Amino acid sequence: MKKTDIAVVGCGALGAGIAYNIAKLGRKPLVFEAKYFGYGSTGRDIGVVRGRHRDPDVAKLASEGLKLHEKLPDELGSNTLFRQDGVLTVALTSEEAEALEKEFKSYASGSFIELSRDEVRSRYPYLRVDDVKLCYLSSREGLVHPLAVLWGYLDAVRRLGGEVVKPAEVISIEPKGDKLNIKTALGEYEASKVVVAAGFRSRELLSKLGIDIPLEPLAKEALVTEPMKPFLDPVIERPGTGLVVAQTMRGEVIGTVGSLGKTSDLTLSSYRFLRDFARQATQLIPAVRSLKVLRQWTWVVDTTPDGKPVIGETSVNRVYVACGMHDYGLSLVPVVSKLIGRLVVEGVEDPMLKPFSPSRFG
Amino acid sequence: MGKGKKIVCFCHDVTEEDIVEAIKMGYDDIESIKRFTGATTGPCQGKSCMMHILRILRRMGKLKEAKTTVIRPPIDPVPMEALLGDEGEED
Repeated sequence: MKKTDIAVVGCGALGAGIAYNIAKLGRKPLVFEAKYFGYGSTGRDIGVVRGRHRDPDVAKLASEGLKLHEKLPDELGSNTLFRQDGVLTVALTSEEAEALEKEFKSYASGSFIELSRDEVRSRYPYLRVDDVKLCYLSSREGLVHPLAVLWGYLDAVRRLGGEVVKPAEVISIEPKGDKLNIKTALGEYEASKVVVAAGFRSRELLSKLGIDIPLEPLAKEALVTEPMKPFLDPVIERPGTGLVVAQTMRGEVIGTVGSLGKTSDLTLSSYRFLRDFARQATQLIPAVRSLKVLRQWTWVVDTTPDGKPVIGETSVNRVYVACGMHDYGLSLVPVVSKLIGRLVVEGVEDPMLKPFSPSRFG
Repeated sequence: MGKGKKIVCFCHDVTEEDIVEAIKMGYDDIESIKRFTGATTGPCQGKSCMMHILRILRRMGKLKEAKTTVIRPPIDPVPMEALLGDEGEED
């Protein structure tokens, strides 16, 4: 049996971020990845970073997460391709406008501005504003390359003496004295502490320890087009239908709309998604009409009944969890990984984490 | 472009050197190479580069199974306007 210090299960942006923060505090993390880096969510995410959220507890994390995203390239010494060209939130029907107005009323003033139809037209001439009923701009938000965040963390983890193994699916975790026995596809390991950050697969792994976290997978679809000259500065989102459209630094237009429901099947792809996206995206940005779609895929996020993530020590001593990140995980990665790093290594629980305790599910 | 460069992915100008470098950095399976270098993600979606990458992986002793990346729709690029469908069409 191999011995290790602190083990992290799952190498998405979150797992890599947690390993980095553990290593930064002087410990040696060992990360297990079942498939390849960013397999379930990170590598499929569009990469929108928001500093706001409907839930006030999550909003505190998101606001801190946004600040940390700004500093991340300097901290890691690696470019995360974070571009703060803003997120433009639009409503196209009166019902959507009503819901949006109510939502933005709860956000800190100064973090966004309302734009009139004329202002939208003059700032973003490529947007068709005829149907826009209400529009807010959150100018510090924007787009990051999700995998660049993951790679940046990974690089730093290795520099600091941490280790990553793949493909090494973790089969079970069992307490043994004051240590934890970890059975993996690459053999058995003994660790002093374990952090589970395996997305929707965290549920199955933790249930073997008698810990029940009511996680449900939610599948979303996304697509990418051929690249074109950069023209679309902000991320455009329409919460009423779940539409998100953005342009990457490589010039590709990338986006999502709606969801496939509660499934964790990553192989699904629907025509309905292509059609809905084509209709809604061309309604707002007519220029994308002639762009060719190169690829569509499915991405799975893990959700909880109360809409909040699950972060903290579980009922089994020295076993920690960070999951239930819904579709806002990437915005939270820098802050959650930092706070859980301190919790695991120094035993200090930040008050911001209190509402997310795994014990709330009884 | 310097002399002697071997292009593996013409869509994104990824060279054999880039692929070898990625493999050495631990991005040593076809899915990780795809994401790290951008090869196979251009308009050809791997039709012209996938086999070159698999050969490099095999040469470096990293090919555990003969497998391409997951193939996703559409098979060939489709313009957005061709996907709009008919107005009253059923789901």
